[in-house]
Amino acid sequence: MRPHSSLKQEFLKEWIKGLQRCSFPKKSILERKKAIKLSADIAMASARNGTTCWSRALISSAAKDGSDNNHLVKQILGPESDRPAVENKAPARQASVCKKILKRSCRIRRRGRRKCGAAAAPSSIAKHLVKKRRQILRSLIPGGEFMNEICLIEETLDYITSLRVQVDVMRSLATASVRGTE
Amino acid sequence: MVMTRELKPDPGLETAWPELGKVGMGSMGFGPCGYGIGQSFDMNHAISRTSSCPPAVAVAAAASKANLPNPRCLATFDLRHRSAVAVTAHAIGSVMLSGANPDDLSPRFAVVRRGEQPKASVAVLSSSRQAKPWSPIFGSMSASVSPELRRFRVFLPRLGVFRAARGGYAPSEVIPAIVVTAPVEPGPEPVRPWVKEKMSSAVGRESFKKRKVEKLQNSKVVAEDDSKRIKANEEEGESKITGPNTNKSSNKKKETSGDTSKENSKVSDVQKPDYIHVRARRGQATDSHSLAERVRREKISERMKYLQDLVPGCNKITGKAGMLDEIINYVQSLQRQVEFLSMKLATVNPRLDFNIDNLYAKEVFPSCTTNFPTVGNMPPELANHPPYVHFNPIQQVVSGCGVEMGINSSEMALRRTISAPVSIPDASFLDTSCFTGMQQIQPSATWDVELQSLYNVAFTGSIEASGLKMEM
Repeated sequence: MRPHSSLKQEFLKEWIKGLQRCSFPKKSILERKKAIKLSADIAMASARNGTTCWSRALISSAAKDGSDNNHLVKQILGPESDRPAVENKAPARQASVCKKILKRSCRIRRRGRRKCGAAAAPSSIAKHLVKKRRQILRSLIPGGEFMNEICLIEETLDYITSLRVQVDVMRSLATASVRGTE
Repeated sequence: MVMTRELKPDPGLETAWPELGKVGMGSMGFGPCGYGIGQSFDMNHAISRTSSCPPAVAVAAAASKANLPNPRCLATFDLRHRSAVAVTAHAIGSVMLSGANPDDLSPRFAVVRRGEQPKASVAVLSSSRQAKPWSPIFGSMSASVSPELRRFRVFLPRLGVFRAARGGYAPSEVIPAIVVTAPVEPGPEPVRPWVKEKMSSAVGRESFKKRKVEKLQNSKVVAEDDSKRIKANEEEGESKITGPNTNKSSNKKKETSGDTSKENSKVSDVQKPDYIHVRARRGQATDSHSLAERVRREKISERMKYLQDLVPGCNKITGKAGMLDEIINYVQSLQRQVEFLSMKLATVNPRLDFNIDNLYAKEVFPSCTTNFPTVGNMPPELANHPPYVHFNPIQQVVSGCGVEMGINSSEMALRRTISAPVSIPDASFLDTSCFTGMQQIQPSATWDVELQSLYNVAFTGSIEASGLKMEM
């Protein structure tokens, strides 16, 4: 497994940079929390340097023009030139195409299932369960809708490690700052 | 169901077969089984059935008559119910019916076909498109059963062998052959109907030794059709074609499937750099679709194994659905933790400045040794990076937290005392309002060593945290 420590350092660096670039002070706690989380997410995603699908999707979704925190993202991302390109259009196109394909396949599958009649076999039930869970997982992982199964699992692996790193660093920072304020 | 050729209800049967819907269950407690028949199944052959045939089978027989398009199921019906089974049983194999049991091991019906001549049975075989599970089990069954078998038997592997009223066979002989199918179940995959066929083929592979060449030929023909059907049905990859051929084929390749599969197998063996070389395992189809399917499945299972290692608590779970469940829970819990921690940071630091120097000053330098030798980010090394001098304190914070270095000795003592019950406080620490739906938090022993140390740190921090209620 990748060493966590180097990832942590990188993440922390990026995060602090991003936080410092955010415009302060913010009044409400929620806004602050949003800023923190957003910068953390972006830092996490950029630590991957565009090698993984979820990181790209995360950044692109955050930087979408219509989103609320667009300005924040722009601030955070602004002077950075080495960030992965904000692929606004490509994922959207991909999304629409993939969704169409999915819908078509679902329709066909439904038709096929109806043909087979009441196939209450345990195998179909199990398949259905697995399919449901895969859908849920797709919704959890950023950019998960565009991945096939193999990709999904790989991205999940990567995402989990990054989330862990994020949690670790945030927690240590939180405790350090808590201790610092005393 | 009435077969044109002949349908003589066994006089020895307790209940006759007036019609399909009224099949006596006999002594067997079969679960509801549904099955259908391959489309091209030739129903002209007479079928006789013992009274023990479950109603579902009867229904299926009726369905087969109507040529149900259920490609997975297959029913073979015997011609005669009095003649010896030996030859025909060889040819036909078992019929796997998809049962409606919720268990993974759905009941398997092995219909031992008693035909009067091999040819007749072969005809039946060839007419049906799905002779997948036939050969293997029947091979074994016929060997043991034929001398005594006088009529149709429908065997439910798990429930035992049905005994016809006048069957002189020894159930004990037959049951082992059937029961063997059970353990062959593949592990993590959800059982699909064709998996049963796989099992039966596995059995057949092991037990089938006595097939005659003619039967091989016949089953080959059938198997070829089966392989095509298998492909269409996304079969697991174990076609029954291999049953008769395993004796002959040296090891891996299936020889018999016919031209298409031969070509495909050739393709798989072609020494082209851009092809994925996949060896068709014994008893598996070699057509490109099932090969690709198998490769894909293996990839997925390999990655699921990695996930198993990564996600704590996944070791005991074997099913795909269960593991996906755990993964989902874990990802959700991690995401919630991030939310929670960002909220905490927002409260703790209203100005979001994260004064690095302060942090640095408050932190004890990582002079003390760590319990975790795996961490490679020793502060002296970090200090060598001129561009990151600014971040040194932070890095030391990170490294300290990563290796439990940034903690006072007193805190260390405290930490050690609480390290034992740390799992419970962890759970309580994380069980704030943000984690309403959080699933079980695995004990820290299963987590990363660094993570555990951070939990300790977090725990001590949580005790001191001002704005947050920590449940103890």
